[in-house]
This record gives sequence, structure tokens and C-alpha cells, in this order.
Amino acid sequence: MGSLLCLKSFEDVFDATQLAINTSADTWKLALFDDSLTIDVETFTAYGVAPFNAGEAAGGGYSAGGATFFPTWAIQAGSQRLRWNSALVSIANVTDDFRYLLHYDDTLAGNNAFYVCDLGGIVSAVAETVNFTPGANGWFRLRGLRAAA
Amino acid sequence: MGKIFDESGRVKSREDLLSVTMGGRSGLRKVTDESTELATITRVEDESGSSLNITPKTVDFSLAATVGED
Repeated sequence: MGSLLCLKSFEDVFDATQLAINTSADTWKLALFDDSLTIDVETFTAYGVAPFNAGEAAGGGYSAGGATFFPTWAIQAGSQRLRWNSALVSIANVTDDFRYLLHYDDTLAGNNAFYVCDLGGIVSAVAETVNFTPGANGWFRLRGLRAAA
Repeated sequence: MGKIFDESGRVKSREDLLSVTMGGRSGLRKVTDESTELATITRVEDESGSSLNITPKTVDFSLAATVGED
């Protein structure tokens, strides 16, 4: 499926909804889901709302809702890109299969989704610490310049 | 640091070499690559337990790549 931006949240930030996502002050969470999801990029909205109301990892040291993490949202100097990044996110004692990582704003009552990271396949953990470290250029970037033809 | 050959003169196994590299500090350490097309995934097992280190590849979305091409 590939990784996805939550278009609905982006729409709601800029339209009359004025969704108050705050990438600096709010509490953000990273939740683990298996590959049973069917995600419609045009309609998925939040943690706890279909399809993100089923298929979440459970058991061991993983708590429903996922792990708190501290993202940064800033222009990456010299790259012409806006970058979503964070430090390492570590979850101890995970026992489950997962494939998708949902990033959502836990401060908002709606638990609005922001990004879904696809790991490309099922990862099986058995009582293991799982460390997530974004790639060298962050979780994702938005390029603000038209690519050369 | 230990030698990279065993007593019969053969190169040691990957696990043994890792142990040698660690200078015997942590004993046997097994590293398994479980990477996918979208993420680098490494499982590390040693005497302290097992862990999964996952580094998803950065995804570049473009805001304007198709403007004017419709």
C-alpha cells in the first residue's frame, strides 16, 4: 500500500474546520497496526475510527493507543522540503505482528491522524524491544518545488 | 581481540566473529537482517535479550510535481 498522508486532516487544518493540530505543543502517539487494514487515503481520519479501530497491536508492554513520541515539523534547510522527523521511539516488550505505524495527535479529542508509515511487510515481535528510528531525512518530507522535467 | 580463524584454520561463523568483535564483552550476538523494500529492519539477539531496530525509509511527497500536467 505504501505510506500515506492523512489528507482529511490536512483539509481540516486549512478549511473552515480549522483543525487545531499542533505539531509542537500537542502529545503525539505512534500506534502499531497489522496488515489487515484497508486504508482509503481520501477518507481515513483518526485513531479509533475505521480502519484504525481494529488490528492494533496488543499485549506485552504495548499499550492501546501506542507510544508517545516527540515529532518535529520544520523546513529542512537546503532541501526545499518540509520535514516530519523525530528522535528514536522505543517500545519495550512488544509481542505481536505489525506493519503500519499511525502517527496521530493525541491531544485533540478526535485523535486526528497525520501520517501512516508502511514498513513494507509484517514484522513479528516476541517479547522484544522495538526501536523505531526515522530515516536520515525524517519520517517524510513535503517537497515545495516542482520536480525538473 | 580474538582471532578470526578457529582451531582448524577455518574462518569463524558470523556469530563467532561478532563475539570476537565485541571482545568477549557480551558473548554471542546474532544479527538478522529482516529488511523490506520500505524499511531497514534488524533483529539483534544477545545475552540481554532480543530487540528489533526499524528504520523506515524517508518518504518524499511532492506538493507540486504534477501542476500543469493535467
